[in-house]
Amino acid sequence: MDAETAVRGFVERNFLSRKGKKTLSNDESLLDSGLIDSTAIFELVGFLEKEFNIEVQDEDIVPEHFETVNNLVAFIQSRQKN
Amino acid sequence: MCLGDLAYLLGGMVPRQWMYALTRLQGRVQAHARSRARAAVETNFRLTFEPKLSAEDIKRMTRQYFESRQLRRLLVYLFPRLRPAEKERLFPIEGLGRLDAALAQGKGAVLVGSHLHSIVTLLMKGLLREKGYDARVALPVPVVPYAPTRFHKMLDRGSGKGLWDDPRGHFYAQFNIRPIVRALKQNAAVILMGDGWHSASFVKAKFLRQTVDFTTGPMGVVRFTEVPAIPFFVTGVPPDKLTISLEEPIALIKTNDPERDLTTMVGDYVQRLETHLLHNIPAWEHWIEDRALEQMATILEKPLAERYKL
Repeated sequence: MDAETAVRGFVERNFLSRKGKKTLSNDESLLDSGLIDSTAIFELVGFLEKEFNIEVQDEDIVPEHFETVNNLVAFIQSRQKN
Repeated sequence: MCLGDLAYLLGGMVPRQWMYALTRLQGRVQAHARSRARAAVETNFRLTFEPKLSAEDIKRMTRQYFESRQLRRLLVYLFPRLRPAEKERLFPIEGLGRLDAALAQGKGAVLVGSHLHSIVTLLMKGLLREKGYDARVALPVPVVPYAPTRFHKMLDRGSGKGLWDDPRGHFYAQFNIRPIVRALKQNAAVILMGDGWHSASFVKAKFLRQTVDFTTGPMGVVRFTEVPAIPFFVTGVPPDKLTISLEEPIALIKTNDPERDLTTMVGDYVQRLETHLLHNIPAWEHWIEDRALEQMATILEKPLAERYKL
């Protein structure tokens, strides 16, 4: 499964319904919309580490990496390259 | 040289009562000289408490706000120089048994503070650590507030130690709660602010007859980790009539509807905050923000980056 499908799937399964939303675009802000909060990010980081076998450092947990699905995919790809 | 340097320099030499009197005077001067800040405080009092409070009451409370603000700052600057007995007298803590009972469960505890005498709330870390607790505090900004100035450090070169010299126990969390979860796993008492504005997520709550947004941060962590949440409030009048009270834990609610759970848990905290605030009106730091409650009611209209700058 590619990164985009996996991330989208995780966000949709776990956070979308909580906010009563049905659709999500790849460049929609997950943070500004309140779709994910700090505990959701905690869950998301755990998912990324397990699913993509990457290590997410505390300093990586910044809005730039978690703002949108596209940002998350770019972050995963940059960590996989490293 | 700032108030902190002066307080630190004179802390060991000048009688405390003189320092308190001078600081109170400084607060009064600020209430006159800082016209924009004064207007913000007055407007907030007027919008929130009129017609219950007269124009005279509002004027008096505004002056008390600035006096109180300066005095608690002085206490923070003096903190490293205070003897243990003085700390016990100036910062009496009630209800520590509640923290003991929570920590006995072995999964840590979240201490939910407030902006009632907010700087003193930050001292909780030091006060609890001195009593042997593994206390940590999540700071709202990456840089340590009230860090020693150059002058302060120079004075410290001898024997003193600054308030924030001990880096163990404070961390910058923003929306990364991993350090908080790690600390709780180590059975620490983690201090979080329940009425802060730096947050990714908020829920609506009735507060001072208005509907405003309160952060879900502390309750989100509590609900996620299932640790006890103990609200604590700093009340009274600085410098020597403050009390820190640890209250009954907030009931944990964990159903399939996290939004509703958080709204209920935050609502419980907000009710307690309001009760204390109404008895300690000048103590709430947020009054200095332009139209504070209006800002709290529209906080989600601001993008995240702006919210974190607040």
